[in-house]
Amino acid sequence: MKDASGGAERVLRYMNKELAEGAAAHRDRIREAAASQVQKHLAAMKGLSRPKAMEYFDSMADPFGPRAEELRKFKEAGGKIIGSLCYFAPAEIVAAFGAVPVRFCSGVYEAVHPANDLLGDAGLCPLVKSTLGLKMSGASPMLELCDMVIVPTPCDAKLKLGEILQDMVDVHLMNMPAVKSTEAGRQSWIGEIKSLLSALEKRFDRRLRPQMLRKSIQTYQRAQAAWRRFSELRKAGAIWGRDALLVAQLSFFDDIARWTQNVERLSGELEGRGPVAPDAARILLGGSPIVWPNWKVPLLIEESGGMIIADELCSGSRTMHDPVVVEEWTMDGMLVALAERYMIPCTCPSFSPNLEREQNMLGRIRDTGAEGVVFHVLRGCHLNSLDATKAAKALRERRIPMLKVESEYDEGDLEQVRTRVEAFIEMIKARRESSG
Amino acid sequence: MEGGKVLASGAIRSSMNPAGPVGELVASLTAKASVAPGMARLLATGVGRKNMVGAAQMTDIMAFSRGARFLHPATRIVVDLGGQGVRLMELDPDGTMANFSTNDKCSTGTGCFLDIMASALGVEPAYMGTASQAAKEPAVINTSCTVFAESEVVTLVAKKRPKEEIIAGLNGMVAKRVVAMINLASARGDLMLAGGVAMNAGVVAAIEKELKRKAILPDQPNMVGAIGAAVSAGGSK
Repeated sequence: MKDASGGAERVLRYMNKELAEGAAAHRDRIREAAASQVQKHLAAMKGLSRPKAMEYFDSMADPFGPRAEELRKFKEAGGKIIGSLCYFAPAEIVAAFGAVPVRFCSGVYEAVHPANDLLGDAGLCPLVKSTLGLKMSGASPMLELCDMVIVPTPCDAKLKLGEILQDMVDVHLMNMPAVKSTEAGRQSWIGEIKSLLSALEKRFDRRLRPQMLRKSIQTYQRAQAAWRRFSELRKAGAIWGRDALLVAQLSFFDDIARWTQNVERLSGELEGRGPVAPDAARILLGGSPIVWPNWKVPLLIEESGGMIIADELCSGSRTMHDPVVVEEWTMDGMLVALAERYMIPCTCPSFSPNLEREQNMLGRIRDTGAEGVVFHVLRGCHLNSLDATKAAKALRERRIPMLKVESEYDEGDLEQVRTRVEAFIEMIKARRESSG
Repeated sequence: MEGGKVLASGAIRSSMNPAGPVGELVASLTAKASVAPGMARLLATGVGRKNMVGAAQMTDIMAFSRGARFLHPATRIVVDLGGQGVRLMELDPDGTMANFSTNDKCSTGTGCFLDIMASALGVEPAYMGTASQAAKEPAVINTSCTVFAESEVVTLVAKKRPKEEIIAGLNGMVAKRVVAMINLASARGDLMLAGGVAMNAGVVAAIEKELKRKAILPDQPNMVGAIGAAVSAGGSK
């Protein structure tokens, strides 16, 4: 099988011709289903109080839509596109080469089917299955444009996803240390960042000049600053969480300077606005990544009288919250700063002991006045399920209610989950009455 | 309900379109309680509550916490051993619900599970509660999955294991799962068991044995949610 970039013949270790053809047959259905899911959710998100500046983000929301077309033209003109499958791959390094980084964690339900055909019931989370299914079916035009995909290995599922994808596309694996509190763990991760740089230099056949990396880091620092300003307005309740999360996720594939401008414009519009739903229960959303258009949980929370005023998702705030802090603008200094930025503040459950996670959640609860935590676990995301147990205890001890919601991408359990979310929000509001 | 007294109660089996039968039930209850039609305040709770157009609504989780608080004010934990799920509600000393947990999306440990096992054993569901006492030694049921447990039960029957011992094993398995939920809760104090499965004496005894303490059992465990809804609609005044 030839890869999308027309590279060398691939050795198929997982796939065969029949599976590849079967997967391709899913392509149109996946595209149609994704487009209709995007439109359905956008319709549910539009309301009277919706800021005008959201129009830009709505127009970019279809992951198979206008941005894919832009990138197709970019590639035709000789541009390079590098995919990544996790929070951990620093976009700054890819962008420093003038290439476009695109993050491909998939939230498209229909795309799980080709992966199920290949793997059977392997107990993987729907995010990994959906991402694999996207590549197998060729449904995502952006993913098909990628010259290479960077796959960090935080969990078993992504570890093997990175391997299976090599049947179809060039993959650069990044070995994630599970223990980050030791010097050995830190050094191993810095080594991975440097080896990513070498892999990209080899692929693009040129050395990266420090000033290019510096410029790229600064571009992302502006994006991170814009996100933090926006987060303050979100905390004040000026915008629904479902909109804020969409904004965060479009940074996965948008032109980052244009994204930053539009976030600034949105913040400008929200500045001075009061809360859109002053009576809503203030919810911190945590747990497994929630990836557009898998908007089941955010919509349920906000349709049931809650408002997501903060999140701790790697697909949400974590994407842009922390700045890269460079002490020395040398190549080495910048790479170390990037390594630290992508690992130290990250509370991915793949780390052990992940003590920062409860601390981070409690800090955010204090900072935002969240009244309860919804901890979402994708079925098959064992590490988040384990962290949920730990989070529940820490929160219980501080009398902060937490609801663990375990769910898949399909909407078969929509009403069951709704009942629980409604009860949770009802409880938070009843607690207000009894304490106030 | 009026002035904290239940005037009339009743239960019907749910159907695809509950509004009609529930309307009839409401009519018969108001007649029984001698309340003029239209004078009763109606509050709908439970899975199908949204079908009751025009009625005030409350989730069953909240209703159970209110019902438990009303029936036994010292209740700190109430477990609804329901037909389709097990839910645990924790109450603050002032009766406000502080947290809840559920075991949904799996039928194990529910009334539905016990009904399926009763049918696999060829006994009436009600016998599942009384049979435990007659058991010399509870059978060991290894799996908690409804489908696999059913095949285990069939195997035990084929091996001529007395039905009572199998039932005691099943009740014990349900109890273990409930006790695990109780142990995860942080509230301490009186425990109430409610819901249809709380009418199964075998399950209740097994829970009490595991916990080494007595649980509070309301007179009508299956009515706790309904009473909580009635209390919330003003029935305690």
